Amino acid sequence: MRAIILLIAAVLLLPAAGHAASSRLDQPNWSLEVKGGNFYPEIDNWKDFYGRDHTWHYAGSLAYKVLRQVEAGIEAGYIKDRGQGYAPLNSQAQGVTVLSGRVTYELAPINVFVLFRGMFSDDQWLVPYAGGGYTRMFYREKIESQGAARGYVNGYHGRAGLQFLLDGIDSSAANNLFQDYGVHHTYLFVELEITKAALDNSSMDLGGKSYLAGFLFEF
Amino acid sequence: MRRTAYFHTLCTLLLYAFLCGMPAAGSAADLIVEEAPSDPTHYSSIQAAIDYAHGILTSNATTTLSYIVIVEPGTYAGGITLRSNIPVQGRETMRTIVNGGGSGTAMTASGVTGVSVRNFTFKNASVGISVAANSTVNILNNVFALGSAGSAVVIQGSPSSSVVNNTFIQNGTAVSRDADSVLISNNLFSNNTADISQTSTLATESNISYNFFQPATAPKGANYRPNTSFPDTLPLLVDDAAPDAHLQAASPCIDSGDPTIADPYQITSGTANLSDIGAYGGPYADTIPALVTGITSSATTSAPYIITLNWNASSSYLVGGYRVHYGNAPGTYTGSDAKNAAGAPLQSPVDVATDTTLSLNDLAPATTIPAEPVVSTPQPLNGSLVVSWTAVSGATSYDVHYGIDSVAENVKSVPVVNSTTITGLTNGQAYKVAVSAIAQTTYYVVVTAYDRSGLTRTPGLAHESGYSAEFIATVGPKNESGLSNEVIGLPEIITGYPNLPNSGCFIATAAYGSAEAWPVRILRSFRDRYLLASAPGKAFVEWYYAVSPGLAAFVNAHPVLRPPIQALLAPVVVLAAFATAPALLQFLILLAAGGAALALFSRKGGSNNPSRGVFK
Repeated sequence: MRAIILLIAAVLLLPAAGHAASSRLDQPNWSLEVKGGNFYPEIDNWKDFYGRDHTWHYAGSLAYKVLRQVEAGIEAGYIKDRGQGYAPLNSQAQGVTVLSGRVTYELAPINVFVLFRGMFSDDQWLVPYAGGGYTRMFYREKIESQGAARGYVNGYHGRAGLQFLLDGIDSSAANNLFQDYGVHHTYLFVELEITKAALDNSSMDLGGKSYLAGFLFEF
Repeated sequence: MRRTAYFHTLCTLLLYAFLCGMPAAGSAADLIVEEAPSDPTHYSSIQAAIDYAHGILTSNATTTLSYIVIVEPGTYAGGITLRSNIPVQGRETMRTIVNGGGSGTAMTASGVTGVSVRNFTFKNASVGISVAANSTVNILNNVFALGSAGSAVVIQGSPSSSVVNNTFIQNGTAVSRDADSVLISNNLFSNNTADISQTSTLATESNISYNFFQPATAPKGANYRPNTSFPDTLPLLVDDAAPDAHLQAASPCIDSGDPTIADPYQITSGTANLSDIGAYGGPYADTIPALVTGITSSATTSAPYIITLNWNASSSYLVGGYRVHYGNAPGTYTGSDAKNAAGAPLQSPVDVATDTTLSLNDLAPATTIPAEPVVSTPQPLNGSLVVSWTAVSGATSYDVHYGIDSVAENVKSVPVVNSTTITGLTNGQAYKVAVSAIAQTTYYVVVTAYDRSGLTRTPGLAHESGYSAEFIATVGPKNESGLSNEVIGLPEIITGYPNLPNSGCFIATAAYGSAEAWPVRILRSFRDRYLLASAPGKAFVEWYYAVSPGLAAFVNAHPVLRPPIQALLAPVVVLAAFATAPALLQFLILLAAGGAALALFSRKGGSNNPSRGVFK
């Protein structure tokens, strides 16, 4: 087991062969992420009202590199699903949850975060990272022919994942990206993000787990 | 002058040679655009179809493919960019509408060639069609009704473009050009602020001819109307407002167009095959009359059972008659069981020539009583119930009976469907619901108008209008089943899941300091139970949600305002509390108030009555 761990660590530290960035003297100061994936809400019985246990989650972030291994930034996301609401009086009378009406449920989490990257070389193939921070979860719940409830709750989030350096796959493309757009490195990444955003005086948590994948550009 | 006329004729011939050389619809690949396409090969926007064709044509320079974008009747968004060699054609001028959304340019051509735009109605745009940068665009058989702020056609730096057989109604400027080679012919200008605007450097009125102007404005070019020989000043469109730019029988624009332009689809009203002026003249006019409207019916109440249908006559001179399509099921018009007055069968469609009435005679009354449907528990909604039931064989319609104490209180008749929504109900109030099936002799009728050409007719495609709105006519006894099972429905405000608060929107919340304060809860209950149950109430709530956050924030920032706002809200809260109280409590309150008022009145009256003391 220990040997496997050591092997993984060695791979993580392995520089990308033929990577052109080693010749670049300056370091990237910013990183831009675009990502998408599935959001699994923490809310109980979600599937009963929305037909499945997850929905789409899209997000993007911009971060400043305080150090090569430490970033601080802001992330904006968008989550939407369509389902049904319920009729409380009818549910009470019938002893079961009576679904009715069409509901559009939207979340827009804004995250302010600090991210730590396990980066030991500019050419490193795999970069693990983890971070977290403050979340303001804006919501809008629109019920057809009734109007919408809007508001926000405060919370926090944490996220962790792995970034795969793409520069070495096509070094000429990587060079072009640098020369044309100033992009030092491009990564493909996967991550897990967990958000907690509970309503005041309620056990209801608007957060959940997001399994995301996307591209990271360092410039 | 003679040279000008020669040049004009040459231009006209070249234009039609170009158009005749263009692939006709059907020979090239037709890209069909519909408002809501069910066919996956069709497009939902004009731009999407143009872009598809453009992608194919530009990716293969040697391709022999050609495309025509055919747009079915409907209303489409403007902001369309035209591309070279992709003509765009509406199926039916009057009902194929490009709406600019109040501003912007509906269609733009810049640096394109081999394009025609025909058979559209342009509305609600700053510019209808903009042609620029040496484009060659032929604008044919369109109607422009943009309003007094709109410029219908603007042609700049595109001397080979043309504007032929269009109708311009109530635009700011109908046509602008900056080259005298731009052909403007056979157009009908009606009540525009300016008809033809050309740059001051153009000294001639070349290539402006055979247009009708009301009122007459310069430049008018050659062979315009009205003139001393043809003094009629009104174009006599069927309907200026709609607009329906078909011509009435007495219109001076009939057969008044350029004699070099044939009018093969339409009807001569005098001399030979001459084109009309306006959007319905010339070889590229659509040949589909306007939809028939105003269908009504009357029926006998005893044998012999007869349904008499009537509809509005069209005032278009092109309409040669009407056809009645009838049947016994919605959307199916293959009836043959009705007879004419002489007893001969009437096979649908029935050609009634120029009549605007038809009697369906000797109709058989329904004799069977249908079975009772089975009703499911209604689905509750805000102020309404969705009621569903099983289909019953032989039923021609259903009656939905509902009420608070009895299902006999209200009835809603619905056609052959298995579900309906009862609206206008009170939230929180239980309603009894039952359904009965009806069997009655029922006919589903549509009427079409056909033109005078005598050519092969296809409803909605050529020489015959599309179907009118379906009309349902009944006759004979109404055989009604017994009532279905009775179910209870409880309309109510639907709660979203999760049930999220609408934070910070109430002035009352700010005034009382908490969303859970009892006056706020009462006002919220009043909103849910009464305001959201009616359209005016909903409108008020929407308005309140729009304005209240700012005021609430102001109150939150100035706590000194809370007591006076609470005092202002107090009577509202009291009334809301009364309105949302249980009925028994309301009764007791009214009783107490009545007693108090009576006691007060008695005391006041007693003080003025000197004899009162006698009874003490």
